[in-house]
Amino acid sequence: MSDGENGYIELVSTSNFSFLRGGSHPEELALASNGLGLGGFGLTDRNSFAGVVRAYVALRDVEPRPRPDFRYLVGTRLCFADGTPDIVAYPTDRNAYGRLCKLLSIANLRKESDKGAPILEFGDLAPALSASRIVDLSAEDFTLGQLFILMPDEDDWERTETTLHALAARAPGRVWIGAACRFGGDDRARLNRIADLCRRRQVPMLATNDVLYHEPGRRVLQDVVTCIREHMTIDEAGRRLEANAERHVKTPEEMRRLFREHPEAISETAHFARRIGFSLDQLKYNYPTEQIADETTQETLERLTWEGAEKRFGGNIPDEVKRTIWSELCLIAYKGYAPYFLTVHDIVMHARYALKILCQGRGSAANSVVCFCLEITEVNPTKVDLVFGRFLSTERDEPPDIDVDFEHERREEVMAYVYAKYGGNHTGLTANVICYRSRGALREVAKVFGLSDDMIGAINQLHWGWGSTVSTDEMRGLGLDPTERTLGMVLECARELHGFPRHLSQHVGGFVITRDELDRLVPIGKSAMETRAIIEWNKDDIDALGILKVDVLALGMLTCLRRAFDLMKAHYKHDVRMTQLQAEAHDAPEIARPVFEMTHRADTIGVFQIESRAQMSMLPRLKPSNFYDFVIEVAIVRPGPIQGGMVHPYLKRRLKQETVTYPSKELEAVLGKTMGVPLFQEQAMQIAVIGAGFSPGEADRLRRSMATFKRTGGVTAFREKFISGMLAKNYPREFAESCFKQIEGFGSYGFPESHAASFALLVYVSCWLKCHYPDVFLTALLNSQPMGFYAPAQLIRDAIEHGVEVRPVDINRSDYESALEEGPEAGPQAWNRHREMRDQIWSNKAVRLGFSQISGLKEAHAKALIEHRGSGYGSIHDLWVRSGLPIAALEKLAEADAFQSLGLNRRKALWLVRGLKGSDGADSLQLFKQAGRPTVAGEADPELPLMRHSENVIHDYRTMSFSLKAHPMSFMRRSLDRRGIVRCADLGQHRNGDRVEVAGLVLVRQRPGTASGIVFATLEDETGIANIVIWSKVFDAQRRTILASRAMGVRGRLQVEGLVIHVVAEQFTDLTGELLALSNGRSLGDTVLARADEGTLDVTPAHDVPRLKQEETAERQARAAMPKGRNFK
Amino acid sequence: MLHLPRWATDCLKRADPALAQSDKPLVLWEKQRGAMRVAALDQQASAEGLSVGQSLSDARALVPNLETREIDQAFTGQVFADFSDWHSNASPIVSVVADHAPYGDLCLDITGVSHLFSGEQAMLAQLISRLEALGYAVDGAVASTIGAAWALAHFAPGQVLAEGEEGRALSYLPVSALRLDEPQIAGLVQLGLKRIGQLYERDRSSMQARFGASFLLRLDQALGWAEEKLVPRLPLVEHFAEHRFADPIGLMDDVLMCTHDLAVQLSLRLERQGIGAQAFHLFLYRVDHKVMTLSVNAARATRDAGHISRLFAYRAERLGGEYDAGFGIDMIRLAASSMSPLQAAQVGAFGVDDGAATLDHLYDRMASRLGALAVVQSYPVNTHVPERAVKLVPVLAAAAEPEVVAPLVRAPRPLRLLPQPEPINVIAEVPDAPPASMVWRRVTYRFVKASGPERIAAEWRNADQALSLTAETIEAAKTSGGPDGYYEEGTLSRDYYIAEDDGGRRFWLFRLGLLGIARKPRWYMHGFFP
Repeated sequence: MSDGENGYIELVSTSNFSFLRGGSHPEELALASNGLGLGGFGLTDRNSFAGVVRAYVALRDVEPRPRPDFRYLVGTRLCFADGTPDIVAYPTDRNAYGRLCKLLSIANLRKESDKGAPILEFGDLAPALSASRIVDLSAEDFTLGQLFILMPDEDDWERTETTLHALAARAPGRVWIGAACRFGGDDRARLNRIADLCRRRQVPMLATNDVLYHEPGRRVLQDVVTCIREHMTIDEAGRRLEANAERHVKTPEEMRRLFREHPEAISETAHFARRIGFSLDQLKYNYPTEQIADETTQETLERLTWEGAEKRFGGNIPDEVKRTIWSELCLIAYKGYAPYFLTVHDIVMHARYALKILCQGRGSAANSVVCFCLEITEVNPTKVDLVFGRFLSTERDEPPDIDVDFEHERREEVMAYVYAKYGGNHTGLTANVICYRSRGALREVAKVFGLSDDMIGAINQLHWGWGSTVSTDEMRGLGLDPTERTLGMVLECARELHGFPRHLSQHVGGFVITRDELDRLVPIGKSAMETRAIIEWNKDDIDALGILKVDVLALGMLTCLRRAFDLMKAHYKHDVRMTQLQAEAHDAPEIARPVFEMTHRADTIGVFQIESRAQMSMLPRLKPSNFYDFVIEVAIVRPGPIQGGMVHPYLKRRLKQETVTYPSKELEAVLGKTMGVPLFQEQAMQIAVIGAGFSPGEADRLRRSMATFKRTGGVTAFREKFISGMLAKNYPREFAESCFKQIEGFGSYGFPESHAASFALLVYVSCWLKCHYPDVFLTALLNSQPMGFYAPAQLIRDAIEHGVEVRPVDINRSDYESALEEGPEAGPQAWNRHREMRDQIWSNKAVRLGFSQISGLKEAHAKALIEHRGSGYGSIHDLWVRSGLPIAALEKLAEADAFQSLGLNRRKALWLVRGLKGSDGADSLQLFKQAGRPTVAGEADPELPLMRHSENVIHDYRTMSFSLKAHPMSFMRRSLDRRGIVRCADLGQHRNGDRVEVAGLVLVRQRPGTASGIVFATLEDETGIANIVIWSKVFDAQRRTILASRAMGVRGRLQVEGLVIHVVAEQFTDLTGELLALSNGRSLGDTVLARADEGTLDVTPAHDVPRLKQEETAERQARAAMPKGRNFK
Repeated sequence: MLHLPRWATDCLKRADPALAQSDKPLVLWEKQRGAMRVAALDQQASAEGLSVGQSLSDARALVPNLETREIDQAFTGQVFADFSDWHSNASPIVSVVADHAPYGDLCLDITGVSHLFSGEQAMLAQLISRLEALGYAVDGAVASTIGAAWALAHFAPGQVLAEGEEGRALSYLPVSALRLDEPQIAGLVQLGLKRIGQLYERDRSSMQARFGASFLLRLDQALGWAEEKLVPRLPLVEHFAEHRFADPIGLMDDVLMCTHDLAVQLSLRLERQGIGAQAFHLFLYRVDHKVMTLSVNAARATRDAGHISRLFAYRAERLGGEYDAGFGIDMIRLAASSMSPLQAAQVGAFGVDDGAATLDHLYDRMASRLGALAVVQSYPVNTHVPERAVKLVPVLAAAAEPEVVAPLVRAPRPLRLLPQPEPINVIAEVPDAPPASMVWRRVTYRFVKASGPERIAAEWRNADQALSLTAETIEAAKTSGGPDGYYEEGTLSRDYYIAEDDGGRRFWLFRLGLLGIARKPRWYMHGFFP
C-alpha cells in the first residue's frame, strides 16, 4: 500500500514529550504507524525534539523490522506565543535541522521564558517576518531549508491567511496547509474552505489527522493529562476536552475515505516526504579535536598510552599486555575515537593532579587496558579477566561509554573545569527525563477525579511496595471500596500514566562536548545554573545516535577514601595507594588474608557496597578469599541475579553442595568463572549469542529493547526467539526461561563484570582501612556523611567495638570535622566479639568528634568558634565575647554537652548561656567590648537538679543522634533480664530453632521488593544488633507495634545459618514507653542510681498523678530524639 | 474551670450520629506547612497510641482503619463559644480561656453562685455530670485563681481548692501546667526544673532573665500573687425587630400587619448599616411557650420593607390550615440572616429600568407562592452530550451556580430536543454517510440534503463498565479488521446528522455506535430545527 502516490504518511503528531498534551509515547505512535501500514510517520512535538530519538530507536529495534521504505521523519510543531497559528516545520537537510535547533534554543533561552516553557514569536522565524519595524537584518533566516505545514486556526481565518501570505513569500514552494477531519459536523465545509484557500494562495493542501495518541482508547489518558495541565477536574473540564476519540493514527484506507473529495491531499504527503533528505543518522557527531602541536590525536593517544603503561607496569610491560594495547589502539584508530579518550584523560588528569581529587572510572571502560594505562580506570585488566569487546567492538555501532566517579563533594570543580575548557556553546549536560512514578501519577490522577487530599494520602500510603497490584484487602482496610468506579478509574489511569514524561531536568553529570556549536545539534534549554545548558536528550538517546558523552559522576566513598588517605599520611605517615592495595589483594594472599577474613564474619559496617543486610548475610556463605570473589559479591546481590534465581544455585555450587555442571560445552567458556551460573550482564548477553543463536547486534537490541518495549509488549517477539533458539540447541526449558528472566532483570539493574570489578576495588580498599585502621575509617566516614547505609550512631558504635576510643565534642578540643588525636592502642581494646581482629587493628589514635555532629549548629558558627579559640576558652562568657556566636548557637553547644572541658555539665552550661541573653538588657557584643568587663558575674549557683545518667543519654540522642555515654537499652537491662530477654550479642549462644526474646532500638525496617512482602528489621541494644525477619502475616497482625515503636521486644524463633543469625518474629512488645520514661530520669527496676532530679520540694510521689499526664514535654522531646527507625522499600 | 480535652471530636460526633456509633478511631487533621497533621483525636484514637502533631500518613500507617476528617478550626471554636454561652445558666460570667487552644477550656466565675448548687464541690460534680450525659469528655476543678484552676483541671482534675492552698497543690504538677509557651516549658525541663514546686524559691531576677517576665506573671497568677481577670463573652448583636402585645393576637391579618411594621423597623436598621439580607424569619411566640417560625428567601439581598412583608404574605397564603395561633401570640420577632453589603441605590432621573428588579420581584412572588423549587430556569452545563448540556435550576439558587467556563458548541443545535431520543429506521450508506431516508412514527421521510457527521463520544468517566486501558497491541487491531475494530468503550459514541427532507423539514438524527464496533448501529431521532 505504501507504494508511491497511494501511500499516506502521518505528518502532524504530538506525543507525550509535548508534556501533558499527547496521550502516547513516541515509540507507540511510530510503531502504530508502522503497524497500520502507513508509508511513514513524522513526529512533531511542540517546540521540541525531545522525543524524536525514542521513536527512532523503537523503529530501529522493533521485531519484526519495519518495511525498508517506511519513512520516519523528524520535525517540530512551532507554537507561537504571539497568537500565530501553529506551523509544523520539517528540516530537509542537516543544516536546516541545525537552524531549527538554534531557533528552538533561542526560544528556550529567552530571559522571560520559564524553565521548560519556550517563548517563540513569528518574527523569530525570519527577520523579515517580524511584526516590529526595526528589523535586525543580520539575524539568521531560520526558514531556509524547512518545509512548513500551516495548521489553520479555525477561530481566526484572517490571521491564518496573513500568516500564510507572509510564510509563502518567505519560503515559496515550501508551504503546505494541513487539513484534518475533526468530526465536528462540518468537516466537508471545512475541507472545502481549506481547499479554496489553497487554490487562491497556490499552496497545496496536505491531509493529516493531527494525531494526539496512537489508538482511540488513549483518549481517556489524553483527557486526564489535559486536566492535569489545566489544573481542573474531569467534571469541570467538560467541553474543554475533545468531543470524540478521533485523533489517533488512522489507516491509509480510512484517511483516503475521509479525504475522498480531496485525494490530492493524501498523495501530497508522499510528495512532501520525498523532499526531505534529513534523518537522525546524519547527526554526524564532531568531537572536539584534542590535537597537540603537530601530532595527530591518535599519535598523542598512543604516546600517552605507552607512557602510562611504563608507569603502570614499571618498565617491563608483559608481552600479553603489549599485544592487547596494540589491538585496542588499532580499534580506537579505526573508529576514530582517539580524541574522546584524550578528553577523558585530560579531565581525569586535571582532577587527579591539579585539583587533587580522587577519581576512578567505572562501568565498561574498566575492560580497557588503554583506559588503565591512561589512569582513567584502576582495575588492572591483566589481574581480572576482562573483555575489551564489551567496551568497544567492531560490530556494535555504539560509542564507548566512559563513566568516571569523583569525590562527591568536589565534583562541581571538575564540571567547572570542563566548562572552562570547552566553552558554553560546546558543552551541555544531558537531560534526565523525569517520568511519572506511581505515587506522583496517582496523586495527579486522583486530583483530576476530584478525590480529596486526605483520600489521596490514604491511597498513596498503600504504596509501601505497590507493584502492579494494590491489594484489594488493603484498600478495604482503609475503608475504600476498590470496586468503586471512580477509584477503579483512578487506579487504572494512574497505572497507564506511570512512565509518562513529566519534564526534563538535568542529568547528574553526563556531558556532551562538541566541536561545532552544540545548539545546532540539539535544542538546548536553561538549567538551574545560569551558565550551564541542558540538551533535550537523555543519555540513552545520545547513545542511540552515537554521540559521545563523558559521565562525571559523584561517589561518596571516594570522598571518604580521599579523607582516609590524607589522615593516613598525616597521622600514620603511610601513603596509601589504591593500586598498591590492589596488587596486594592479588599477589600477596598472606597480607590480604585478614582483610578477606574480616568479611567472612560479616564485619562490614561502613564498607563500600557490601554493608547492606542482604550483602551481610551473603558474606559468611560466600566467604570471599580473593579479589575476584569481591567482584562476584558485588554483582550477585542485585535484582538481576536475584530475579533470575541465580543466587542459590551459585551458593550451593560454591559450598560444594552441588556439582558444577554446564548446560553445554560451548557455554562452559562463558560461565566457567562463575561455576556455570550467569551472574554478569555480559554473560547473559553471551548466552543469547552462543546459546540462543542471536547475532551480537541482535543480543544488544534485545538488551536495549527491555527498556524501550517494557510498555509496548515488544519483548514477546524476542522472548519467543530466545527460548526457541535455546530449545533448538537442546537446552532445558527452565534454564532458557531463567536466563531470559535474568536478561529482563539486567535491562535496568544489571552489573557488567568490569563495573563490578571497579567497585570491588573500592570494596577492598575500604575493607582494608576498616580492618587495620578503624579510627581513620570512622573519621573519614563521619566527615563524608551523608553516605552509605548506616547512620553515624552505628558507625561510631562499630568503631568503639573495634577498640577505638571516641571522644565527645568539646568547645576546646573539637574541630568542625571529626579528627584524630593521640590515643591508646585500639587492638587490645577490641570487644570480645571482634577478638580475632585484635592483632590486625593497628590504630593508636582516638577519634575526637567534630562540631558537624551537632545537629542544627551552623558551620559558620563552628568555624568562628575555632578561629577565635587560641589557647582555649576559659568560660562560657569568654567564648561568647571572643567568638561573637549568637546565643542560639551557644545553646546548641550546651545542649550537646560540649562544655565539659570547662567543668560544666549540660544544665549548668545551659543555665549560664540563657543568662547571657538578658543580662543588663544588652545583647550586642559591641556594648560589652566598650564596657570592657564581664557582666554576668556574681550570680549565685542555681543548684540545678543533677541530670540522671539515663537522661543525659537521651539528651545526647537529641542533639547528636547517638551517645558516647551509654546505650539507652542498658538502663532497661535489669528489667529486661527479669523478663528473660536475651542480649543481642548472646544470640549466638542459642541454637537454631530456639525460642528467644530480644529487645532494642529499632534502627531500620526494610521491605525489599524482591522479598515478597517480608519485612526485615534491625534492633540494637548495648551489646549489638539483632536481625529480625517478619513474615507478612505477622506484620499485618502487629503492624502498629512494628511501625510505631522506637524500641521493641521481639519474641521469635532463632534461625542460625553459620554466622548469620535471624530471629523469625512471632510476637512484638512495644517498649517505647519504658524508653521514654528514661528521659525523666527513671530507670526501670533500678533503685541504686543516685538521687537526682526529683527535687527536694517534690513531696508528692509522682505516681499520684495519672500516668498519661506526667511530664509529657520531656517525653515528647525524648520521642523526637530517639531514632524513628528508617523505613526502606 | 472546665476542661474538655476532646471537644473537637466530641462536637463532631454529636453532630453526626453515624460517626458517634462508628467503632473506628476518629482523627481530625489540618494542613500545617503543606503536611497533613493530626489536630485532634478521640479517646479511641489516643488509646491506639496516636498523638496530636503526628503526620496523618504516619497515623494511618499505624491504625489502618482510621476515620479521618479535616478540622474546621474556626467553626469548632465558634461552636465552643456558643456552647460556653449556654453555661450562662450556671453563672453569669463565663469565659473561654484561649491561651492554650481556641477551644476546650471554659472558665466560670462561681463567686456567689455556688450556694445555688449546694456548694462548690456539688456544683462541679453537677456541671461535669450534665456534660458527660451529653457525651462530652470533661474534667474540671475549682480554685480561687484562674491559673490554679486551669492547672488542676488539666493535670489533677476533680479538686476543689481552698484559697491559699495553691502553692501546695500545684507544687507537684509539671511546669506545663502554668500555661507557659512551648519554648519556656522546654527550657525549664532542660534545666531539670520539671515541677512547679521547684520554681518557688528560686531567685526571681535570674529566672526572669532566662524565661522572661511572662513566666513570672503566670507563676504569680497561679499562686494568687498577681490578679487575672476573666473576660466574659458578649452576646452577638443580631438583626431583628420585635413587638410585644399586651393582649395576645390571633388573626393572620393582624400578624401580617404587624410583620409589615417590623419590616419597616428592620429595614431602617439595615439601611443604617448599609447591608441587606436574603433570608428572613418570622418567630411567633405563643402564650403557651411554643414558637412558630416562617422563613422566606429573596432572590437577591434586599431591605425593601414592602417586598419583605409581601413575601410573608404570599408565604402565609400557602400556610392555610397549618396556621394555629393557639391561645394567642404575645410576641412577634422578625429576624434577618444571610447578610451582604447593600449600598443605598441612587435612583437616577434618566435611569433606564432594565427590568431586573421587577423580574426578581416576580421570581420572589412566584417562588413564595409556588415553592422555591417550582420556579426554574435553564442553565448551561459543561458537557459534550447534548441532552445533558442544559439543566434546570431553581431561580433562587441560580445565582449560586458556578459560572460555566467552556468553549461554545460550534455545531448547530436544534431548538427543540425530544425528551427521549426515539428509535427510527434509516437507510444510509456505510460506514458514515448521511442518511437517505427514515421511518419515524410510521411515516417515511426522504432526505434531500444532509450534513454531518458530528461525532460525540460517550463520556468515558460516566460509563458503567470498568475502565480498561491495558495497551492493546497493534497486531490485534490488524487481525480484527475494521478501522476501529479494537476500540471498545463503556457506551457507544454517536454520529449526529442534520437532515432535510423534501418538505423542507430539518431533523437532528444520530446513529448510535460506529460501524465495526456496534454489531448493528441503531438510529435515533433527537430534535427538530425550525
